[in-house]
Amino acid sequence: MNNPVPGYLFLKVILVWLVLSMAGFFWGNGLASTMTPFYEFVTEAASTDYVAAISVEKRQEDAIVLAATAIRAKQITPSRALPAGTTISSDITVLHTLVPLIIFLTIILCWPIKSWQQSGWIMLFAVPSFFCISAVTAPIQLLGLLEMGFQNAANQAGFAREEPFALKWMLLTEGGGRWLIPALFGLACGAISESMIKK
Amino acid sequence: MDFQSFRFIVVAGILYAAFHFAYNQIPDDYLRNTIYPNVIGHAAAKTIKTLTPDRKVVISNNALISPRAKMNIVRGCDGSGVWFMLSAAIIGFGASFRQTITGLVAGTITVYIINQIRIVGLYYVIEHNRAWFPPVHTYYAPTLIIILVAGFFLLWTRWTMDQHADSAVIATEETNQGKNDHE
Repeated sequence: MNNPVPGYLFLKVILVWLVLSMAGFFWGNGLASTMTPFYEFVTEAASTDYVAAISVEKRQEDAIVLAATAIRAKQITPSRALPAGTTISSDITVLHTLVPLIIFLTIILCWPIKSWQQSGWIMLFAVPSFFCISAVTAPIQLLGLLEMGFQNAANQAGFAREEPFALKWMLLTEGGGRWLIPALFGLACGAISESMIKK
Repeated sequence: MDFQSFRFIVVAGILYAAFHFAYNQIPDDYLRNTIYPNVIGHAAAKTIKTLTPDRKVVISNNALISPRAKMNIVRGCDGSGVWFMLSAAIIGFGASFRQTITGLVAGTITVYIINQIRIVGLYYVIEHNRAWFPPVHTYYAPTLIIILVAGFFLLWTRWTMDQHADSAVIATEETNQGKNDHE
């Protein structure tokens, strides 16, 4: 459990990435299905406008589908609104959702560990981090896609609608933020675990 | 977590957001009609024609078109996300000015080359089997690119620390030499 040379570390990273990627490809649907109650919880916490029902659907590309039922009428333009009780949907592919989690787990599993105690600490921090990363990516993206539909409808009607937070966040994460977030969480977990064993 | 690690995470996060904001100020038309064909498209087409001379690949704005495949290069497919991430990490690391500039230049070239390989690879994937495109494009390629760029960052940080150690050794030797001369 010493600091490995860069060549060894790089090979280890590639191997771990490959194993995680294959695991995600074959068993990603199972993980996504397990996470759906959590995604629903986050979606409803992030937007009080809807009741969320999230499921995993088998398609050519398996997808996580959000069926959002509007609790109250949602104004899109001054003359047009989504009536309360209407259900609208958005979806993202399961594989797309797994990308940040694979980056995060690759960092965690390849972090140069100095002792078993550090392994314990890093795993302890990894569990809440895993849920944090999941919370700020998939559910917000599903909400962002709904908002994008409203935004496009408003634009077509010539109405300047303020960009909601979910849409802004989705654009940030889809532009590469969904790679940065797990990388920073992974670094933070590693750095905190190192400082814990120094104490 | 020590202060340096905390500072690195905060600075990299803020810089990334700033880069992302600046990138979103560039109009789609300008990227599609000027940047993508000139910076990415023609070089990718030339690579494809060099590797497989029988392919009649042409560039039309942001599209790579041949009788066998058509691929559009759109916002985000230009490697900008990973470039912003690497640049934010290099600046946030807090190396010397010269090391930071070296890292940014070498990092930019690395990201460009990796992204060109990705674009050319994706073209061949579409040509070979269109059904493989979505998983390669949205799943395997992004994670692999992040890992390769992280590898570059690791090498760069080792280089900066080696240089720092070398200059510390030289400074110590000079100090000792000065003491001996004085004695």
